[in-house]
Amino acid sequence: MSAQVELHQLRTHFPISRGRVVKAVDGVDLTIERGETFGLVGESGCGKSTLGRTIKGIHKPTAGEVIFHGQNTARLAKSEAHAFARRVQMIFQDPYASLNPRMVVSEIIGEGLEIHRLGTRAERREKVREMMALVGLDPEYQNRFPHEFSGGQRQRIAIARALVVEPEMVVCDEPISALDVSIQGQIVNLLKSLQERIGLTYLFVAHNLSMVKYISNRVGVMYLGRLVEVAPKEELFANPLHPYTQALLSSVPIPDPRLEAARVERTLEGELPSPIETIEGCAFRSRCPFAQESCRTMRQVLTEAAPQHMVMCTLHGTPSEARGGGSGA
Amino acid sequence: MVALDPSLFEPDRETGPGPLSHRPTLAFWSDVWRRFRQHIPAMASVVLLAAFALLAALVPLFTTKPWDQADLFATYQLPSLQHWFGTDALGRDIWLSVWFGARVSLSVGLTAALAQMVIGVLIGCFSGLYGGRVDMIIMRFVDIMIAIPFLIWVSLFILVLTPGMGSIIVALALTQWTDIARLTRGEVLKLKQTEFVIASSSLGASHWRLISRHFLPNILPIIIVAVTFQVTNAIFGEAFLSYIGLGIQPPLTSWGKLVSMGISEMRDNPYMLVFPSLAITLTMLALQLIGDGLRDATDPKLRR
Amino acid sequence: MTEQSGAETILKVDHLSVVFHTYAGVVQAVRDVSISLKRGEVLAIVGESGSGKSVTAQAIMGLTPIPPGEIRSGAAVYDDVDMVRATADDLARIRGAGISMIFQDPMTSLNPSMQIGTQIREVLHQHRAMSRADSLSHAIELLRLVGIPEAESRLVQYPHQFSGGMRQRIMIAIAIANNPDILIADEPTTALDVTIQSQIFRLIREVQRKFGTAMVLITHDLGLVAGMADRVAVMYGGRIVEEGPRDQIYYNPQHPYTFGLLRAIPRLSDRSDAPLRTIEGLPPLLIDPPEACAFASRCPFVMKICRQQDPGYFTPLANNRVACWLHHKQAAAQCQNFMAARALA
Repeated sequence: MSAQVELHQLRTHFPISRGRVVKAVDGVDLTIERGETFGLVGESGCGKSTLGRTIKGIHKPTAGEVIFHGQNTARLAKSEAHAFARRVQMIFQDPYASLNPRMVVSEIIGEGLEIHRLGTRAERREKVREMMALVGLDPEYQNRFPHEFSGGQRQRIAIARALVVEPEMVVCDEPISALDVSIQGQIVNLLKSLQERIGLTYLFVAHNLSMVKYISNRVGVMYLGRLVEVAPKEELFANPLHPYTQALLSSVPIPDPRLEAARVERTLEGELPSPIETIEGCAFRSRCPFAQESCRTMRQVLTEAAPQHMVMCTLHGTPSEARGGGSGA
Repeated sequence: MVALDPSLFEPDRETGPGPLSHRPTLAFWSDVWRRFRQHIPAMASVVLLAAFALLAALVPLFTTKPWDQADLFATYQLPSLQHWFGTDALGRDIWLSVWFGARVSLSVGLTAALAQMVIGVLIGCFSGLYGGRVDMIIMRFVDIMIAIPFLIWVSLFILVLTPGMGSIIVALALTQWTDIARLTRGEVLKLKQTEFVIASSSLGASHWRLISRHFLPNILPIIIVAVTFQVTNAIFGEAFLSYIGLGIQPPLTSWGKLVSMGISEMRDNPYMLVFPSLAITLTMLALQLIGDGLRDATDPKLRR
Repeated sequence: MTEQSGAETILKVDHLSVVFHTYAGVVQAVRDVSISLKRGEVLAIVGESGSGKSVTAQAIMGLTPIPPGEIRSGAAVYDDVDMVRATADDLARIRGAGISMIFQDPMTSLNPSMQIGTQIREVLHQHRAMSRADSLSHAIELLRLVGIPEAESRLVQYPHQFSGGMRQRIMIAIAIANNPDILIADEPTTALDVTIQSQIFRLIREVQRKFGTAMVLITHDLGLVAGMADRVAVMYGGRIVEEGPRDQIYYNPQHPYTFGLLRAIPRLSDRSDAPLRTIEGLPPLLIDPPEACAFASRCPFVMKICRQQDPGYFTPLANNRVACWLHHKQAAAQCQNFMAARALA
């Protein structure tokens, strides 16, 4: 089987005060293939980070399943869970918070090796040096502290830490948002070349659409905890079907004055609804310029609107429950 | 425009990626030391305490007679060249008494505070790390400990263990760790949210590893500051206990004992109270100032 | 864009140098920066972290913390007042009226314990003699202008009751309350989501056009700049390395850093197999900056002289100045290489 991860109706909810619940991830079905880079975009509060962290195991699913290589991650025995902690790694957004300020670089990178008892002391030391060179850091600096490095270099350290244990999959949670433009490209290129070299599966969570387009094979768009559109990247960016995706793509300013002047933006009215509310049917209908009656009772399934292009929208075939006397889709 | 040497305009082959952004290599503790040095009251306090410690160590070493040797011909002497601090009711030299007493007071203070640190940090770490029910139970226990007055606790301990230096240390250690525990727990709860801790624990790090490698090094600066204040409290605690008679027993003496004697003689021989009280006050003040200095020196928000 | 027929210069920054004293040494954050702003014009200052753009903006507003900061030399003159050396009275008079600022993070610049209506009216009262009734209606008008629905009832709410985009709108309302001559926007949309960014961006543009306010836009987002700026100044290593009209900067960049920056941004319109061209290396340390060109260690067209002497400014085109040895007449050969590389991209 070539599927690396399968998500079935995954829900991750966080209870907050007074019995209310934040439905960060609310019913996601997704399959990520081995060796692919799946880009996940959406705005803040859409749940993309939570989704990544649920796959990694930082959050426990409230409902639904995460099937990693055929195994349900919620039902692993203790030793299997420990092994799983190694097979999926994560790179975080903030290179200043994701490294322990009191540990030197070699300790940070080598921690995974120690935790999983991989190799002898000497072998680990060698592996750490190798890893540093691989991500473009001079191994001479292995006894320095994180604060002595720049943001981009710290991300390289974080990448080295993630890869040193030889994972199968890496969840990249906004790995470049906190970096300068000229450094972002360096890190993305590094991730890409490492993937080719080692053979990794990536879940690349970001809000920079152009970077996501560059690095991904397929791209998914999330809105309020739901996956509303998934397609191969060329298809998604050339032919966005979901009204939210269309609005999102049209809002990106273009670094070219003539094209920017010609850019037609589909504006979204209103505000993002709160993820605490339960919304029936389509979560986007409060802001959608094309909303109809049937959207209120839309079923939350992705339907194939074009080859390999899945959308959750009544305009593109997603069925809605027929209510007594209601209009059919 | 003056023509420049044409060779200057040739491409320069050695375009390397350049050096590391070396923010200067300042290890954390050297930076702390540098900042601490600038805090004048703290530095003065260090000097003062060092002087006290030296005197406490050396004066008893170089005397020819024990401090409690009575000299009934020289009772109630005012400070003079022969007896720098004067003598007490039994003719004992107060200068000697103070420094013999210093040994007891300072070592009790230090030992008790260190023990409180160990107990408090461990309990705080466990409580913060495990969270949930464990945390709640431990914190209620802490609340109870705090609610019961210090004196009652300690008196109970002393009565059970019989008065003496060891039992004071035990009593103080077992009852006054609560501040450190709370502080540690708060810091651990904060650290649990940081990404580097999440990163490690999702890598599979054991609780022990999280505590020893990630929590302790990062809370150490704060704990050290708190411990300096604990020492102050412990010294005072011992003084108080000795004052009320539950403290150390002869042949030992301590500042608290001396103060106690001084107070009973306060009406007629006030000089007897002065020196031991000064000793305690200055020591506690110095420790406070050092604590302040350390706090300022380790605060990441100040100066960077 | 906006017409400036013979428009006067309202802000003149002259050889400004700002340093910071840290334990590690003296950080030269802004090195000899000169720039001017005409009435109604939008000037974008573009650069990455450490380029000095934010420090420059703060200095213009008189916000540089002194110490550890120090104005080594230069001036920033508005309305005959040197902002970097102005008295507290002058600053209070000018800030919020003559010159206003919008910051990146509205949460920290709005007072969390004060109703937003009060915050807006406060700024009105500070600079104008106005009755309370007038300031109330004015505040409502401002909130409507920046697109906050139900303005009247929301006046009494607190910042935390608004979303990030809304808070940014409130901050804009406060900034334009007294119809300032100059608006300084420091990364106004960076902390916002894409769709909200574009809303705020459009609002700022609308406001600028409507009131003819001059603007200094500080950002690293070249898309934003393309949509708003009349002129662009590119900063690197504390210096302005290139300055010129917007179209020239985008279509005819004269400095290898400008070119590299434009090329390093992936665009949605890129072909999917096009490799991402990056600028190798790291930004310079400002503690001991090289006296020569700060970009030399990362420049693919570097020449020996680049590492030895500071280039000063050249003017290969009208209205443009660039700090690069490639434009020295003796560098023609290497300059050709640069132009050729540009043509290929």
